[in-house]
Amino acid sequence: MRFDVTLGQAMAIASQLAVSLAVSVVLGFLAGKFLDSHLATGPVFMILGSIVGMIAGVSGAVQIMRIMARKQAAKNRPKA
Amino acid sequence: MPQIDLASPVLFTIAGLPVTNTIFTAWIASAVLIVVSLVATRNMQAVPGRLQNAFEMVVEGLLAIGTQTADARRARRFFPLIATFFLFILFSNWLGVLPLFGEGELYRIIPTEGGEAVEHANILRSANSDLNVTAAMALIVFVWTELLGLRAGGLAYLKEFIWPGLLIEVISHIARAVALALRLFGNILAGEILLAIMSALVPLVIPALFIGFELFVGLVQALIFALLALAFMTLATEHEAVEHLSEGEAAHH
Repeated sequence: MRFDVTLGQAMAIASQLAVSLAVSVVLGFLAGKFLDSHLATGPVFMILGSIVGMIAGVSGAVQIMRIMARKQAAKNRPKA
Repeated sequence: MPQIDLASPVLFTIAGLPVTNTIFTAWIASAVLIVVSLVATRNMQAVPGRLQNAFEMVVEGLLAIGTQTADARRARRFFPLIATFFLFILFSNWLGVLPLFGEGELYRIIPTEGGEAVEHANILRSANSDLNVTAAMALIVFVWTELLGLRAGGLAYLKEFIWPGLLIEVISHIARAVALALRLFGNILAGEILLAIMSALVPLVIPALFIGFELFVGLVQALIFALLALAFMTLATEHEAVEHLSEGEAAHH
């Protein structure tokens, strides 16, 4: 039995990218807010946290995309 | 218009532990899956019967999907957990569109400050429309993935969490699990709300189209959850795969 999972993978990556980006920014923001409230540093860590969260979201999505694309690339590679 | 509650109402308690309608439905889904699996695998034959054949098709299909995301060895290794997630999510999602869901009502008299009030709740509700259920599954994926990573990579896996990548990696790993839980919950709850509203607005024909759509969404969401869980586990055991590859090459030479 043969299943082409390319569409499933594409949907998984797309939905993960969207949700994990938002979740990462919120998590970073909340961590920053927690630090700001304890260190009385104003919005510094909130802003830093949001930026770090954004980077984390993209990095996480890229990792997943790499894993799923690698297998596809191996499949499409011409055999020597 | 139908009343839609985000929180799942408590149906009854067992030894002080509240059992909500979504947990009750999750039990039904699990029980049906366990019984069907036992019946299908009780008397396995070389020439399979209908049920055994259907199950073999499902297992082969899932394994084929798994080997297109991870390598064959790891796809087979993670298969029991991933397939369980897929089947449970799929079956729970598909159960949720049955006519009984969201229809049967249970009335409970609850004590209030001013006397008593009647609380009514649907007896059955799609398990994945409760954030507690999806969060529990995402937590299993998160813990299992980290344990696999630690076991496979040891110090090399921990190195990812060393400064300056510390914050990014920690947030990224937690966000994966949170995103898994939120996406499944959001999609299934949105489907439930859509069905309830459409059935109230146009009771004939139109809801059937949306039921078909919800069956498709249920399948896609189960596939996405399983594929992402497999991808996370594959990602966590990359060190092990590299070692396995090097050992294989050394043996070959």
